[in-house]
Amino acid sequence: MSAALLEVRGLSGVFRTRAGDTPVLHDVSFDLPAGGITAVVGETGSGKSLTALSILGLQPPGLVTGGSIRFDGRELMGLDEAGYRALRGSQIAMVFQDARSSLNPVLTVGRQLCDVARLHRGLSRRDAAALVEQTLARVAIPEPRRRMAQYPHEFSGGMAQRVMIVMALLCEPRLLLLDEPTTGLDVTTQADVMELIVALTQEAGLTTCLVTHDLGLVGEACDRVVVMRRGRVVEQADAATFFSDPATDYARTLLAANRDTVDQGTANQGTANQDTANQDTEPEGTA
Amino acid sequence: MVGTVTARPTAEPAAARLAAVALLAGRKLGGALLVIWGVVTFTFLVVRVVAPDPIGLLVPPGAGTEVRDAVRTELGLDGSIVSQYGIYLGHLARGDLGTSFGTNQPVSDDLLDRFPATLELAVPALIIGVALGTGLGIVAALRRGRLADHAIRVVTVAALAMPPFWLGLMLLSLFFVSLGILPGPIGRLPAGVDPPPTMTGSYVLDALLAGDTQTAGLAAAQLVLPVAVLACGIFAPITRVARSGMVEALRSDYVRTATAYGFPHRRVLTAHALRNALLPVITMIANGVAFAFTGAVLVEGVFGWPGIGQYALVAVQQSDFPALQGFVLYAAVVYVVLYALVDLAYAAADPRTRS
Repeated sequence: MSAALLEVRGLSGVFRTRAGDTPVLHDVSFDLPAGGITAVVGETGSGKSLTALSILGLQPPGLVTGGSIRFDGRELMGLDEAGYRALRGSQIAMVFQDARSSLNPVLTVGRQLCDVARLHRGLSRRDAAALVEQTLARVAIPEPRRRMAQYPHEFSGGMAQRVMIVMALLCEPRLLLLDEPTTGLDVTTQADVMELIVALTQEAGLTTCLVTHDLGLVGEACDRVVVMRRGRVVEQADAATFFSDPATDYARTLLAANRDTVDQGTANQGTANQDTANQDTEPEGTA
Repeated sequence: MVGTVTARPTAEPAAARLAAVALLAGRKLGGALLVIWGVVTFTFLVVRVVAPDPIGLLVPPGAGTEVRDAVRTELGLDGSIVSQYGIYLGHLARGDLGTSFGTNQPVSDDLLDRFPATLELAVPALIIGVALGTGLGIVAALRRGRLADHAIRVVTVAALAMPPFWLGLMLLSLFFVSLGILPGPIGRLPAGVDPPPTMTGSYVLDALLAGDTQTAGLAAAQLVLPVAVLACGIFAPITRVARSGMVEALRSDYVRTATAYGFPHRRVLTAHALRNALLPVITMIANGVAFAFTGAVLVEGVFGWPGIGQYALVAVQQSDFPALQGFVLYAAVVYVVLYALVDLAYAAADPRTRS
């Protein structure tokens, strides 16, 4: 918890179309302190995913961004393709929502992971395979050798998300960005994946940014909370402060809504789990 | 565990994969025979109901009833439709397609005689059509919304909208009638030029093999327009499918993942986008092959090309039932074999179709 690894200052974003300009990010500023988990929380359309994608220059074409994003003191805005390529994976690795569609359907999972390991570690085919197998075992994927020969459609959502986390770990990045990593997974799997993320962050000394709409997920896991709404940062605070004494009405509403879900959950576990799962499988627009 | 790594992790268990493919092939074969039987039966009935009576076309006008009955018996058209059908199927089962009313030769011999001509058009047309279609589709997707994309769309829509026989006539009127730089629709070689000794069946190749460059040049000049017309019918649908496949792949999450993990743009395109984008192109290529192998009947007709398509055209004009049935059977077999190959190609190229 020392100086910020990533500083976002005055980030703005406008979708430029022939029909006109639609501003979607307004003066977004926040820090990701080194060596902790920061949650960026907000409802659908709050601009949290676009913010995360902008860090790696992966925002959809048509989104024009302005402002400043500094990683380890270095300005990222305006980097060219080669500049971003040097950063992607090796410095900042990203895990996306819907892991199964994030993997190439016609290549085996092992091949895709080995390619990443070879690109970022300069390993031979054989050494890459060994490292991938080890890393898969580390995130508790049973029979990693057999799994490597399989294709993404043969993986469950939770297993596929573990694969994506392995892909990130293989790069040994300094910053791990997770965009709705548990959305679409069932409740138990969500908890498992979150637990894994927390453990790996501590183990590897990573700085982790968790983008999510699910405050309940954030709870114990994170050190810091950034709340976004309609393209603006409305509140940022340490997790302890945020949960005990939220500063804005919006944060209080979010917390209250979340508490309701949790209470229901304890009162009637079976059906509540069902409800939460359904709610979580709803498509989460990233715009 | 880690130290004993020997096999490549990407290899599937070979035996399981082979068994799955064999099962698929067996199922397809049964279905294929059923389809062919259906097509044969349908054609048999339709030609007898719709086509004019061949007797009227074969006997001189004013011939007596005895003559007509004699011809009818000779052609095997004297029994009831059911008994004719029974005889036809019996012959078919022995590989006998019947004897053409027009040429008095076994239909299978006629088809074999004409096949090399069709193949000489089909092969270059397919190579050009598939290469052009895939290439233009990819370029259009990469340049989406820009000038190149719009230009390719205009060309593709124009090619799709023009019936091949009409395009053939237009090209003939331009390059043969007006400009006089390409030969007319007189088949594979100009009158008076002897075909080269048969080796491959392609006049151009055979003439080259025989060292006769002059004949090879003449044969190649005859090929230009019909090949262009066929290629036009083949490339356009491939372009559209390749473009939409590539656009979809470029927008996909897995392409974003590959980019997010620092792979160079070129590698993202070739290793990730292209392979997925070209999957639906397989079906379109099969359609192109079928189009070319049936000689695109009217294209061969327009260019006086003595291939299988023209044979079918003449058979229709003469109510040559066995020839017509033979052609339809050939076309059905071409389609059935192609679609079986398409299924196998998908099974090999797309792991999702195997499970």
